Amino acid sequence: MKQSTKVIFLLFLAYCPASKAFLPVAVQHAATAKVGSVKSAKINTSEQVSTNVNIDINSNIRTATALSMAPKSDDTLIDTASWSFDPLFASLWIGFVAFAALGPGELLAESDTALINDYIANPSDPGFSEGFQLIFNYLGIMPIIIACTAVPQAAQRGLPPLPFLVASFATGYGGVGTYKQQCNGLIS
Amino acid sequence: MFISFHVQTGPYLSFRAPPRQQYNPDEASWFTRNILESKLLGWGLVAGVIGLPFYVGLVNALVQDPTAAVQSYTDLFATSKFVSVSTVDAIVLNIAAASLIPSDLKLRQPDVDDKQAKFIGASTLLLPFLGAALYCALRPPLPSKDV
Repeated sequence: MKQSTKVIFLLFLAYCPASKAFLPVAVQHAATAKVGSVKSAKINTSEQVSTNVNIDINSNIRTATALSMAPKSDDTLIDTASWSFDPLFASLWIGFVAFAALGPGELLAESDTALINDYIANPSDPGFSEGFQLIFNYLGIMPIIIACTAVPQAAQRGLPPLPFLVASFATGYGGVGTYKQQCNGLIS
Repeated sequence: MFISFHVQTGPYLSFRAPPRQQYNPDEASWFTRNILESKLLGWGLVAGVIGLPFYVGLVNALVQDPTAAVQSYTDLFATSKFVSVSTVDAIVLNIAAASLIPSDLKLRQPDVDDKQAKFIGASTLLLPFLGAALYCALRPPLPSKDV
């Protein structure tokens, strides 16, 4: 393989967000380290550095373990990623959607519409189970708690948290007025 | 109607950028500093979680006839998708909040132990809704500019 092809491939491994989906982190670290050595080789043309540049793509996996322990600067690879995949939240999401599709009850049943109409007509005493009234009201509190914990830790790249959180509150519970109020304060 | 909360927050939490490890006060928005970090909001959430069972009459119903109160809810859960999905949504949101708390705590106290942060997050599940609200009220403040 030509040297330029190797460099392009390593740049892809190191910096393409999509490569995170199907490559172990250690291999990406190795790729980043190799890219770093290629960059330094362009500056320093000594024979020893040039030897380091002669890399074999197949050896990445073998060297990954050692390399992943060495370069602390590779943390920037994770810090600058614009997205990641969180299996916990994804499984929660998939599980929830699956339950919504397959769980008890009939989708868009008239009885459900009647429940909502009863609640809109008399929110303080809609006439159905107090237990469900409590849970339904708690669903207006939980998005605020999620926002309190998710927004401060959100990185300033990738998916912005506020549209998702505000939409979850506005469409589910808070209404359009709350959505507009929050948008005015949130967009900085 | 069934566009529930986690349907919309789930994609964000699943595919968001890796959460920041260090907090930069200069990057905080006005809303984060003054609203989400407000102790008034935190204690308001706690008050809401504690007060709602009284407001909707659940406490009264449980005192008068606990069996009927539970039965009326389980009947609704078994027959209504709106009720069952909302219930699972509430459970999922509690788990999501508990999962977000360790990284939030480490942002505020970087020297806190990983196990301790996870333990605090998991412990909020012992008191659903109230645990996460209490965390919001009692959590340490974010690092400020003068620190």
